Amino acid sequence: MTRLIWAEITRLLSRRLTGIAMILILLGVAGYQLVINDALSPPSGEERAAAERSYQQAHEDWAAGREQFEKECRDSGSLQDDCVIPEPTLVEFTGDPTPFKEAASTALKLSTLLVALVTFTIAASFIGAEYSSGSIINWLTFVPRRSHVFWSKLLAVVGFAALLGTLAATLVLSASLILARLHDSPVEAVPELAGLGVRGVLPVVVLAVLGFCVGLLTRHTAGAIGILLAVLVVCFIRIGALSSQSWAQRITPWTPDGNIAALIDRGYTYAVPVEKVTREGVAVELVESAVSLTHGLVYWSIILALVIMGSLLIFRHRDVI
Amino acid sequence: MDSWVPTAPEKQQRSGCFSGSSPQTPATSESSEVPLAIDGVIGRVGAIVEQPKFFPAFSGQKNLKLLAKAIGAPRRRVAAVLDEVGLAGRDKYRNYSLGMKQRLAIAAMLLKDPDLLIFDEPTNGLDPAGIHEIRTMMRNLASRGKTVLVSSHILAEVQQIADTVTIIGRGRLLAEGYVNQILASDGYVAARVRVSDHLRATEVLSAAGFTVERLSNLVLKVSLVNRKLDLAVITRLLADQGLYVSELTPIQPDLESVFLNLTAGQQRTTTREERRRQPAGRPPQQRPRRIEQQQRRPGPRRQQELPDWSGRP
Repeated sequence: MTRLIWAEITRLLSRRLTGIAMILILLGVAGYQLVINDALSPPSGEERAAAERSYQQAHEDWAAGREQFEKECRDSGSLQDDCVIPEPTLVEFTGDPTPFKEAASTALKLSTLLVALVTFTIAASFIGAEYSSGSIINWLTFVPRRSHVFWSKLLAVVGFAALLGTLAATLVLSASLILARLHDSPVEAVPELAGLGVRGVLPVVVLAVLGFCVGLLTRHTAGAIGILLAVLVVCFIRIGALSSQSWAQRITPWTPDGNIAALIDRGYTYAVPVEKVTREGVAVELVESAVSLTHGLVYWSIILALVIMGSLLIFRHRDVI
Repeated sequence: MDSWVPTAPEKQQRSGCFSGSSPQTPATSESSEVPLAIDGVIGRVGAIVEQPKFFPAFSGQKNLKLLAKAIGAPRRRVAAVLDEVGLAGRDKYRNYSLGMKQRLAIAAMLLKDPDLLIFDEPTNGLDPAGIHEIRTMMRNLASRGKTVLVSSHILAEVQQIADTVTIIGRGRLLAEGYVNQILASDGYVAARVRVSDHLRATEVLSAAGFTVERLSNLVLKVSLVNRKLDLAVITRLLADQGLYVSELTPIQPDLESVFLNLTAGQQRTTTREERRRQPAGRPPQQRPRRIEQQQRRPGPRRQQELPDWSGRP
């Protein structure tokens, strides 16, 4: 079994798609670090001077036109509070650097998403290519123990995904720390961010296992990617177009996106719109609920167990010729 | 050298079951033990089932290295087996010709130095040079003491390369032995007769139940359907009519005609018993007919039950 796993890992790492995907991840992480760099860096002298000039101009405009505007506003019947124009401040024009915790946290979440989607594709292609090229027939001819073959492939994918997720999180956090030091930004909540990075490995592994199993069931990479896209579209419709629908939000604890978010964020809070009849009419009130990390872990454990067992059963009994 | 020429569905089922490319459920009653005993025999068996299909984006060498790692063969064997089949192994597999693919498959089989090598239609799709190369390779392996089982529908090929032959029809052993003995045991299927009055000779022999075919002006081909041909009867019949032969040459049967003779009259319908023995969910199949050539088998024998295919000691 160990020999088989090593053979599968060797094959996985030797594939061109794996190399391309790793370069893509590296580029994605590096690209976002440029955004982090921009967010953490304080404004330069030139930027500050330009901001002060803009502030001066805005303040002069405000001082000159304030009284006339407020008068016209009140005359039109608007409330007093609605007619007050707040005084511009310098901070609004210079902009404060983004806090390290916020910038690093966003970078970690984005890298988790990127790595998870890429590992799904790698895993689906890893088994899908074997079916579409027919090489799985040859492999089973030489290693005719189907359960061993299945587990070796799956474990190789899981190991690779965990490694890739960990490496990406480490890279993002390290780069963010270096950038924070460079810009003298106060570094805070590093253990919390490290926890976020560790939890980010879970969705990567989940997506890798799902990619492998869906690729095995559809026997083709394109089929697996198609299914992933369909699920993503449904998820986006639910949280976008159907966000005002109570039923669409109530099912959040049973949706893949809600439970992935629970894994990453150590729990996920969502709002369910509830209609209430008042004397003025029907009012919509948002009731907050949460999907806990434990719920997410149990949810994905059950889903993965079912998907893996189903795939194994099919792999053992389906003719590959 | 061993060989195996069943009908396609049965061949796929058996070879797939033995090699692992079909689900590990008992395919037929004869081979039901194969999945159970596979751990014991797999290390001693090498097989090419259907067309060999390796990872197309990898080179031949890379493919073999992966296989060697998976089956626990020493890494140095890769270079040795590639050398043995005459491949450099640096090109990508997808760029290989059919002959090169077949040679790579043979190299892969040799990785674990098996005792039994199973070839399934090894010359399918090859050009004449490739066919010759693969045949030579199979003969060389047999001469090195390996047992080579060839599954082929080309009976002329089987006759050409095999030492012994076993003919199986509808699950029963019909004949087994050295190819020459099997051919001889079937008797003469035809004779070449030269006679001056070929028209009268045709009348006489046809009346006696022979099938007569005119080969040239004075030469006839005389045969009997499904019966041995006795040359003495031909001479006696013709001499009784005052016709004297100037040539009487027996025409040796080939393996194809032996196969057809032995399996002639066998119904191709599926019996109730056969339907019962077929795995659930599979459509009824025609019963297998197999020719199997084996090395170091005793002389001809007929009408026996199949030997145990499980590979158990």
